Amino acid sequence: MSIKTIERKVLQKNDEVASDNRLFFKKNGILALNLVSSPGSGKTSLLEKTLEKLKTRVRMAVVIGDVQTDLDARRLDSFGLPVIQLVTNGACHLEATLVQEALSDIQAEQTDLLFIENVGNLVCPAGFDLGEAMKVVIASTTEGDDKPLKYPAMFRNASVLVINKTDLIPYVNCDLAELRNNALRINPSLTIFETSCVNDDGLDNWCDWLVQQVEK
Amino acid sequence: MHELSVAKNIIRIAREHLTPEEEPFLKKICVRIGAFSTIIPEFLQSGFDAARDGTPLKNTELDITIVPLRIKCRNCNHETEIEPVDFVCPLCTSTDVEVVAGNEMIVTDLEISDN
Repeated sequence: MSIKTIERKVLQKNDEVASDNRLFFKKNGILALNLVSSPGSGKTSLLEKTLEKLKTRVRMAVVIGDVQTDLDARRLDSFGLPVIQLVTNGACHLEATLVQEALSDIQAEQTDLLFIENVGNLVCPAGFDLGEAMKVVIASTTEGDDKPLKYPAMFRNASVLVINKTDLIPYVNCDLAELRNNALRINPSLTIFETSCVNDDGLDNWCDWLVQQVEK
Repeated sequence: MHELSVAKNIIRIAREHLTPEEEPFLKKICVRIGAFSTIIPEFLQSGFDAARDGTPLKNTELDITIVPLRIKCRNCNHETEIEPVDFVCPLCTSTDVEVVAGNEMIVTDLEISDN
């Protein structure tokens, strides 16, 4: 019997490509955000509203990951921005290599803010670095207020929490204060926004913050 | 859900460290998996069983060691193991803590039998 000690990170390859992506963003002055959430939290609606509000202020591009279809990319087509759809063909998360392949299509020198919309899933995307500056986790009120405790890795690894669908608060079993407390218990340094893509509440705060981050 | 792709990565890494002659004699791959890594050990085990099929490692076993989640307090420097939702220093109650272990996924050792 012989033993080879190798001590190799399982995701080393992904991490290496993520580092390359990070370098690419830095070189081109791009703020890259990795948007993560469960399916149906309103990631694409939030993007639609954000692109609409910021289209004259910030040069943006979008990379969208889905298990199947280009429905999301088509929703965002009307803005005339680079929108790259990635289809993972069954995989439950984006990996750094897939994002790297998309980067040649985003017109990097004309982009200040890149949204990477991950596959809707609160587990797997937490483990895969894409090279982003920050993870933004979107939690909608219809999911209840206990999600941060059930999916702590995602909330711990994110820098920003957007609580979406606040217009539905009267109709759903979600205590906003409790949701905030649970999120801050997992990650006290989270920056939190509350938004509704129906009545536009909170969207200006979110968009102004994005502009500030781009200008930093 | 992503345990199958993690299992495939583990097999790829093991094979990168073996000669083709050694591959059929690889008895065990030892991995260290953090309790906060989003990996479910049972799923990784069954993912590994599926991923090794059709490869020269079809008789290789996967040995998983779980690393508990450990935090270090930035306020009082106390280091301790915690359950995944309690990011609070038990000594000084500060929430300014950093994770020092429990996120990792590492292939540590390859055990090769002599024949």
